[in-house]
Amino acid sequence: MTEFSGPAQSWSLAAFCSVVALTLLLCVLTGPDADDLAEFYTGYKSLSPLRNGLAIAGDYISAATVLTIGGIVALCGYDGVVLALSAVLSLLLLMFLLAEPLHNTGRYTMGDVLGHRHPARSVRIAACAVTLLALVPMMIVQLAGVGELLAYVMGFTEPAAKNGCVVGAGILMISYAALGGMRGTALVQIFKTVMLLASGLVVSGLILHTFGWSTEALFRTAARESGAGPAYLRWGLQYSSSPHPALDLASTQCAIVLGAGCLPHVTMRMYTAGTPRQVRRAMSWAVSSVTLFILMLVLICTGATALLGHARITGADPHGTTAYLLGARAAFGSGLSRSESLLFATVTTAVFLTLLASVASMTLACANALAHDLTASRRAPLAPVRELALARSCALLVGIPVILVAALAQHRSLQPLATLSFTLGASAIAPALLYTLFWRRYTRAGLLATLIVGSLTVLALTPGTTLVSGTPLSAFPEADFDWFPYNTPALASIPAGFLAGWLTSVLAGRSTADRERARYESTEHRLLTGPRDRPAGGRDGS
Amino acid sequence: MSYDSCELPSDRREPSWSAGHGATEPPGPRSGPHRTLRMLRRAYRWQRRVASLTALGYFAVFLTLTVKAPWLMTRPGPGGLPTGLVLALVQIPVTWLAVLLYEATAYRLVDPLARRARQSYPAPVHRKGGR
Repeated sequence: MTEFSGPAQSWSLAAFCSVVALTLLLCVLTGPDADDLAEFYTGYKSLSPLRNGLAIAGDYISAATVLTIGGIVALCGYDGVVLALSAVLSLLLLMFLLAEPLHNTGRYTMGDVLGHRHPARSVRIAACAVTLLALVPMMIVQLAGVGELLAYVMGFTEPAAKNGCVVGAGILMISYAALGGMRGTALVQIFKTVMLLASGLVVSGLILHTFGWSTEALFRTAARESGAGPAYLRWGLQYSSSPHPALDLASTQCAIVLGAGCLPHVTMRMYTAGTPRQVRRAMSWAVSSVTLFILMLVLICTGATALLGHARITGADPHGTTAYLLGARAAFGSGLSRSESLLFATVTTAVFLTLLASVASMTLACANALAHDLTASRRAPLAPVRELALARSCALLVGIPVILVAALAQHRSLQPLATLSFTLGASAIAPALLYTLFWRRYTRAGLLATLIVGSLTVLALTPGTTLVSGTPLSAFPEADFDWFPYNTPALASIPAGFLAGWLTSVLAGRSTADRERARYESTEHRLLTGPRDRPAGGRDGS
Repeated sequence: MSYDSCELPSDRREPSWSAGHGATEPPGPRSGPHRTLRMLRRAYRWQRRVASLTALGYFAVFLTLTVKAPWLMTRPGPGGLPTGLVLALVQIPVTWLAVLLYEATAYRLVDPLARRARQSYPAPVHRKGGR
């Protein structure tokens, strides 16, 4: 039940090609005019809250969610479920805390939000650098995932074929970002979310049907087949080799809860809504869709363990990254009829599109940051035509090194790179955004300290974690240079990022504090009610 | 996260957005526009704090119980599953409920104030470099 036979492969290949052709066509048709910056960066704010919400959900559901968290759910049970829930909580917190203030103060990029409070070139450059640092590792993970997925579904074994898949997918991601801009990638994301949710609903229904619609039977069978017994339904399986399992659990959860929602490719969608109320409605749709998907992910990946057993999942991939596909395949039973082949091809295509669309959005976020943040604070701003051309070139500039590294690194465990992204989001971006939006005394030096100290701590500690070396499942299992005995550096780097900003601002003195308070008050009206130059009335709500 | 005082002391310099309101009667801290903005700030703050702390609090208590009280979390709960897993899965419908509640309170408490604040203030002067 774990192999993909002839008809399923042919259907999947046909579906992949159709989806690629269709989405590229969508991007070309909806792409912005050559001199329309606002349309490239925000898609003219023309999407309804439902569509915008589906696009946000599409941005948020990445390979790290479907493949990595899915694998942990299948192999470690309870720990994977908690990890999946922390991903939902992160988006929920983005909705409660940051969505509306980000929309009100930002224009195109995170640098705009930070630069609105502290207009300085150094702030823009730091914001751009942190955006690249946080997103490039995640892009490598996604692109390498495309190679693995295609090789698995199509039955390739040669490394050259996998590299070819990575290069092909990389060219596609650059095309989506450069041709479609925000509106084109939004349409691809909407298409992906609908496909993922629809196919997921069918597969979860089939899995629950197999177990007589009893979640208890599903989880009990999964526990039995996992080889871990009752430990599968308790915490600790994922951290069993850790010297401090409780602290490891806490640091991983903190990294995801604070970091996942703050990554710039997710927050950039906050600027694409017309009014604060539309952002809220869009986020409601996004949180609801992501929550539904996480429920289905838990059911399908637990179903994979229950139906196939631990050995066959780790046999396909030691980290269980193919668990979602294996679960979907197992749900259809041993033989596939024509309609079942078509349905299964929808699942594989949805996963394929998930990887492609996420990486395209990340490329766009990086290109926007490079083109906009680095030129916004110039004395003579670039003409719109030149800035747009620069943004498109930046997509190429970011994309090519990512493709090369992804092709080289795809046979290694890429979990440390995904963790690096989340931890950077939690240690540098989250404190910078929270302080900038809500703390009156926050100074420019404090902002730079948060971004720099938070990022450097993550970069310094990550190579020493157990995800990089020291265990059989590390990225470098043959080496042993782990000196920080945790999965993530979040335990040290998150307090470092928050403390650096707080201390630098508090030690700046009374006059600086008064100046910053006055500056905050001058921007507070816009922070609370939104910018005046956007249509405030119009389509308020869905 | 640390917040500063929410009130505007009367002896503090007037913010730039309030400076050009009415030529005849500039708005003071107790006048209409100021009051609306203060009420809006309070409403937003109340809503954000309650919503975020409730969501984070539930998750933190859940994680603490998971680690510190395994005997409780492994006891069979409703439906035959361990209590911990039930508490985890319950978070999914609770999230949908939280989103509905947040939307409803924002619609009732925040949106009317935000509309009033937008109408009662002049367009802010855009600073150079902010773009």
